[in-house]
Amino acid sequence: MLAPKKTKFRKAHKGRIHGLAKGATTLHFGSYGMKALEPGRVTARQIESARRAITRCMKRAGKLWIRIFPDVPVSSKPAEVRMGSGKGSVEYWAARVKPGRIMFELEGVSKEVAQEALGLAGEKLAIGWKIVSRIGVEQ
Amino acid sequence: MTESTNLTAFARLKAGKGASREERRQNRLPAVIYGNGETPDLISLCPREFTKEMYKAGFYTRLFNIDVNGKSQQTIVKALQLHPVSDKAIHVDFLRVTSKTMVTVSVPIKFINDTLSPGLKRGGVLNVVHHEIRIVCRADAIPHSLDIDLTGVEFGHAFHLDVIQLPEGAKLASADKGYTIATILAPKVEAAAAETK
Repeated sequence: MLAPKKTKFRKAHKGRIHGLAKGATTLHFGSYGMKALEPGRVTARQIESARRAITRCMKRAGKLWIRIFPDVPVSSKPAEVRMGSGKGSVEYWAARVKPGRIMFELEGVSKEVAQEALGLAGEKLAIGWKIVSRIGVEQ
Repeated sequence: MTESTNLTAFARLKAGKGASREERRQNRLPAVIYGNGETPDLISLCPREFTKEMYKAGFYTRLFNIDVNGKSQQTIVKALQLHPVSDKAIHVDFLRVTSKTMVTVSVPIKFINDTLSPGLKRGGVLNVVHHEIRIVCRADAIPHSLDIDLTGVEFGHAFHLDVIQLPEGAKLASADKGYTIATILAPKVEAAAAETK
């Protein structure tokens, strides 16, 4: 699973996700991609699950780019623990995604395969998404 | 010969974001026509008509004949602003051209005969580094696409800029003439084995 190699601080504030994506809103590498429609956290586990779904559906043909990285540590306290006594331990890593962000890009597969692969990957995510393709190019 | 499409537009009086937002509220798409040493024309388009054209092939390599209050102007799309989430057009810049105008355009690359490539047949991946190339050519001679023939190519083959046959009168916009356009990558055997476990 994706995770940072080293971090400056072990734990992070919860934070809020405001506004729309400012960058990475258009396809940069592939011909098809998946765009986020809602703000939310995408966990490293979800990214890995989506990646596996895509590569299996494409039968390892084509190429995949993951354009989000889980760089936010999310902590939680163990069950049945009283409040206080400091912040919980880091449970998982997540990427903060704003609406409009391209999360995955595909190249080297047909439109039908790309739609199926991204559809399966979308099932693994907890946010709304849509499939996008390049403007002005024959599909 | 460059393809051309007809669009009808209305002139608008005010420039700026307030006026543009007002146009969008009226379900019109704000746009501007400039270039050729003439004063810019502020126009508004029908978004539905424009979006239909936007998703057709060769959007950036086509001429648009824009009829503004009975006066037709020949243009190409210079810049297109899209909403980050909905991907609807929010503003369009058209560049006014004549048949003699030299324009810099991004022409898409089309890979042909992919079924005749032994490298791709054996599971190789066509890794496209550049989907389009910027060329300088006459406005009435913009190629629809630039073709790269994949016949007989094997793993590890790289297509550089010099393989592209440019049409007469066209030249590359970039000074770097040797950059890679695409490569044929061998299938990832290790990754495949790990995936099947």
